[in-house]
Amino acid sequence: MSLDTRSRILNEALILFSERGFHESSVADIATAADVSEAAVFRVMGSKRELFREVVSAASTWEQVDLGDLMLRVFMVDIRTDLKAFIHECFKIYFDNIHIVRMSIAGRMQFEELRDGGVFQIPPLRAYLEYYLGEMEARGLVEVPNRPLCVDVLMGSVFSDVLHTTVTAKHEMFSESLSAQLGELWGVRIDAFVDEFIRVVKPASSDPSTTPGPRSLKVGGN
Amino acid sequence: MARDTETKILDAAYQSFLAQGFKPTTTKQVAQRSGVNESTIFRRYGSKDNLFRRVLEYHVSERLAFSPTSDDNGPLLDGIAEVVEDLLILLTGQVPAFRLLIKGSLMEEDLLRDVDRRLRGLQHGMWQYLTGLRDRGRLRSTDYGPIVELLFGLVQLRAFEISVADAWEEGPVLEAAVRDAAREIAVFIVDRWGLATEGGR
Repeated sequence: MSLDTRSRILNEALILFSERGFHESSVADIATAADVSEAAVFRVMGSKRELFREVVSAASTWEQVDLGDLMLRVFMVDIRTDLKAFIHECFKIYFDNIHIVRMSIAGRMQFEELRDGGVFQIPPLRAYLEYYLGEMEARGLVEVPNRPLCVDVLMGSVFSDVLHTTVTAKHEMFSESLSAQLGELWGVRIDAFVDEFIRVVKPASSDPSTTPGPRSLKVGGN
Repeated sequence: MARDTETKILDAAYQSFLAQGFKPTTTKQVAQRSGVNESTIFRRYGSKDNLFRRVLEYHVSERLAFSPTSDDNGPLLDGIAEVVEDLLILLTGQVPAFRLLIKGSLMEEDLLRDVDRRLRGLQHGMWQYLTGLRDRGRLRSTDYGPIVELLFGLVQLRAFEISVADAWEEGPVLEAAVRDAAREIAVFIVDRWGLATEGGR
């Protein structure tokens, strides 16, 4: 079997499992969608359950996301700008992986394969946010009471939006209009987060020469 | 049809759908599980599709009601913890049903919109509660709108985490986890926005 055919089968299986669920998707359906015979599907994996496992395994690399792009847009000067970039990246990653996300949410309680790993909070994103807030605190720019909880607030609200947009509103793509909608919503929320949940010690300066250096001098006062 | 019979059917159907999904579940299984005659079920619901729809209305959207009052004068922390706990219990109860809701092809638009509306209703209930506390001078004066959006995100996250953990553990993980989560959130709320009043915190 060519690599092409195999990945096509796995991809169609992923979409069907995500849209209809494991029990509701038959091998016949997968075969039709992938334009192959049922026998071909069974050649990839011996049973539907094993195919499911393989599909999950292949799609699970989504959790090892590359945050290179994000790090280029985070300057650690103005927390609002940084958080907006971060939140935007979160949504992009969720929507790039919408099928495995839906499958994970739907199947997490039944299927062992989906039990570990992130979907409520994508581990690298969570880790980055924790690091970011910690670093901003270390530079004396903000004070974050209960950092894990504050991280959960942001990650949870992102997850909540993902649930809403994919389940109840049935969005499949991070379109321009959805991005704009969420961007507007989050502009207000980030202001509330910065003003109400944490404390800004040093307001953002518009003077570029005051970019904070390594954490040497922790200047007191606001 | 007696209320009791309808409840039996809807509970049994809910359990079956959750355990197996829509397709493998049969009205025969539901009849066996509920102790109600299969023809009775057919007469009432007509089709499996219709039964499914009614199950989701009954077990999901109709359960999503929440209007806590803020006029009790007990300790602020306890009051808020109790409200958050109620909300968490509601939401953790709904998580299993999300598995069914998420199967887009089976869902009718208006049912989904109804669930959505009710979830926003829960959020509104939380907002009304905190705003009420503010108006009684127990919480700091500010706009609780976006604050509640963020807090609700946190509460939903906890609901999912707890619900999934509970499905895999044995024993009453759920109650303790809900209580602890509610308390942690309440402590945070009082810490950030609480005002010392005569009654004390």
